[in-house]
Amino acid sequence: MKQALRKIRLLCDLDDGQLERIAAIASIERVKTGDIVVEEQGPANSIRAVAEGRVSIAVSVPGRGELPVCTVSVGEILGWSALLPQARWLATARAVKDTTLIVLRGAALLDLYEQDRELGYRVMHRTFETVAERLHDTWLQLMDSYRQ
Amino acid sequence: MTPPPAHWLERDELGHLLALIRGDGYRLIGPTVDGAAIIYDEIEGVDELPVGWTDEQAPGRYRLRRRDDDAIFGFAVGPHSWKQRLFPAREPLVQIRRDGDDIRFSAARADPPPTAFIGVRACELAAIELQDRVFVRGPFVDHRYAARREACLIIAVNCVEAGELCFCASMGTGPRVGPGYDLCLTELDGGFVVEAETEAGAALVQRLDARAAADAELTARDAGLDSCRQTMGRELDTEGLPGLLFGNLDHPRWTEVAERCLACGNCTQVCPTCFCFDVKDVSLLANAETARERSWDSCFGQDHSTIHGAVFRPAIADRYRQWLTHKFASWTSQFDASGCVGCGRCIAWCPVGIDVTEELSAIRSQDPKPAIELPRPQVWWPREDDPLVPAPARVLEVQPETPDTVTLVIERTTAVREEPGQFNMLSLPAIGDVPISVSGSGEDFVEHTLRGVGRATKALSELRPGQRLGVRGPFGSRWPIELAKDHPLTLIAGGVGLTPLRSAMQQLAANPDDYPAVRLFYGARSAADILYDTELLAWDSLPSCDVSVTVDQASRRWLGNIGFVTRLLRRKELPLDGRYFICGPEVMMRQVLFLLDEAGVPKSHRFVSIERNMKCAAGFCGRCQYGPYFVCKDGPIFRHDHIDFIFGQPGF
Ligand code: SF4
Ligand code: SF4
Ligand code: FES
Repeated sequence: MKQALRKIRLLCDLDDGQLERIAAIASIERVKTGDIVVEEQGPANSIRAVAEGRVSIAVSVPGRGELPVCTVSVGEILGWSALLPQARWLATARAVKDTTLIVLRGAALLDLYEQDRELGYRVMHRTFETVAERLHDTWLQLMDSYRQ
Repeated sequence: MTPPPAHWLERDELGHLLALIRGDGYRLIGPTVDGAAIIYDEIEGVDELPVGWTDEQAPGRYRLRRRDDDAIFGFAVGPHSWKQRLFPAREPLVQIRRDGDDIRFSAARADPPPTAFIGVRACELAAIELQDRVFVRGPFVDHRYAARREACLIIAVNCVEAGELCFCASMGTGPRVGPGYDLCLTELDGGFVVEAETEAGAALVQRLDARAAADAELTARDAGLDSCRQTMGRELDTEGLPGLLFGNLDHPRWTEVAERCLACGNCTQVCPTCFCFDVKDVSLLANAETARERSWDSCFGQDHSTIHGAVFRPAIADRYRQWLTHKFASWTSQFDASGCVGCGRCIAWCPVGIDVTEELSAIRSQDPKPAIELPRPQVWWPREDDPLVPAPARVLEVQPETPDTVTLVIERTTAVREEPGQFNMLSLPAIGDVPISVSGSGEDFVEHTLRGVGRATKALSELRPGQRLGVRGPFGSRWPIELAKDHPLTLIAGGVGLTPLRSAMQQLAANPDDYPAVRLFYGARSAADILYDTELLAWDSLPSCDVSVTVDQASRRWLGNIGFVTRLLRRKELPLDGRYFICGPEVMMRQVLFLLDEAGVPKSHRFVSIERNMKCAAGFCGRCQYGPYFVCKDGPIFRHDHIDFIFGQPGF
């Protein structure tokens, strides 16, 4: 498990001991192409990282069905809503390849942050970086810059 | 060099000189009073010269006034310059004849009659010499301009009185006439000192009743020139000016002057060195015949910088800055000389009296930032072919790529093999020509992938096999593939930005020994917009290549990556010794360059492809200017560190 965790950017600043503590709350989830990983509206309780494969994130648009907005690849995370209190999934995640995910329960992760503030800071710092990048890339995507 | 022997010509003999020149078959063009100004027009003799007239000039002001004497050349310069004669405001470049599917293109010839320019001032001769640099010193020759230039005899005049707006002494172009004339006159009391520089000039002097000039006359000439030099109405400190201007692109003065400037373009029209032009097709005889014509254009016009509806210099401040940075800075990189000769016309004829010397000294004196280093001028090998005349070529095949994009396979018309990154100008009668990058080529064909979005690309994309179009090129710089040997190479493409990289990719894929580690990151709008899909798959299957594709918009059926192309890059190593070729919309390239900055990849390892408005592709029309560069001849492929001071700068 520690080997798999090392490949995740979110955790790349952690030392061995810290990784072990994360490993203790982590589990593996395997899904097949087309399987739903999390469903829009469902309770958001775990943050996931892609160890293998690819997941698409889609929002349902009435009349148009599921509209994929981005994909998440190896080393990347999805489901940061799980770190927010009483959150629900805002989008559906679906495997577009056979995929292996590492699941970290949000509540357990937050407990770890409390016990080890340093670990919490390091992971949250990377989480923030990921969110900022993802937001920035989304702006660019929205610009539809290849149109002309 | 010993000065040419000087002669003395009595005042009354000037008529004789003009008659001799006419007798030799020359048409005379000289200064003459027309209404309220002294212009250059066809004359027959001395009577039509502005005898006893002078001009009073001030910012935004030009008036004729009677002199107290009957000096013949006792004025400075008017609204006309010799540019009208050598580079007419409107002229045909190419005649196009269409007969069914057959198209023939032929160069419009100038066939100029021998013409004598009477009364060319030092600054004006310098301006002619500057336009020679644009039109005949390479890489291409404008044959119409060159023919007119050959056919002219230059009778120059030294200035012994300076105008209120003159600053030729600061620009190093006057008041003494520099090389390039046939005869040079200095008007003094009672007559002229005459100097001949060419054989034609010397032969004229021989036939005149002119004696050797006396020392006193030569002293008077030099005194006249000296006093002129000392009484110049304007002055300009040119020391380090190019670097200073480009170091101060955000100087507040640009906005201040823009509040006064009307963007009327008068300054560029009267300037004897401005050379920008537009090209339009004018159809006659129900489209069977078309004349491709050029007409003067101005960097103050909106169209000057517009491509695909995007205006690169939307604000007046951008345009004023373009005019001044071009004239006083970019010229030095482009043509190894300032673009200003100090004639003062742009000051007199500006309706609101904007004075370039004042604007430039304001930038120098009000808190300037340090100067930056500008590129050195390139040396071009002259090419003899007429770059503006297309060759007819047959469409061999049309391959649909996406709903609005096709690849035209066209028969090869030149022996010159296109290099990846270069472009051709493709043209249709009555529609005009557009730059399209080369997406592939072989022994006897060239491929161009184009999206039918504008009028011209739409018409081109509707061509059928067997039909003809015009091709001229190849033009421009190429991807420096050889620099990537023994280095990991990453190609990053967005949208149709893949087309100029495709031929590079073909070469790279075919030479795995030299290029063992090639990656292509490609962002497309949607799955339906992905170009060359079978080729992408084939490249990806090679051990030496790795292809990743992402789309901005997708349906559920798409199982690949979704997200902007930067998302692909964030997932990968960006090796510091790698080489990077980037092509796509500028906003995309900018973001990619940020990521490479973050990764610490040196700017000298990155190459980008720049797109700007182009009309001629030969360095004549000025439309593709990009700071100190021309995209058509210095680009379209630039090394990032060569352009980083303007890349992403609004207004360039
Ligand atoms: S910029 Fe003005 S002063 Fe200089 S050459 Fe042009 S018109 Fe004359
Ligand atoms: S500087 Fe003067 S002449 Fe030139 S565009 Fe502006 S207002 Fe017109
Ligand atoms: S100068 Fe005409 S296109 Fe570059």
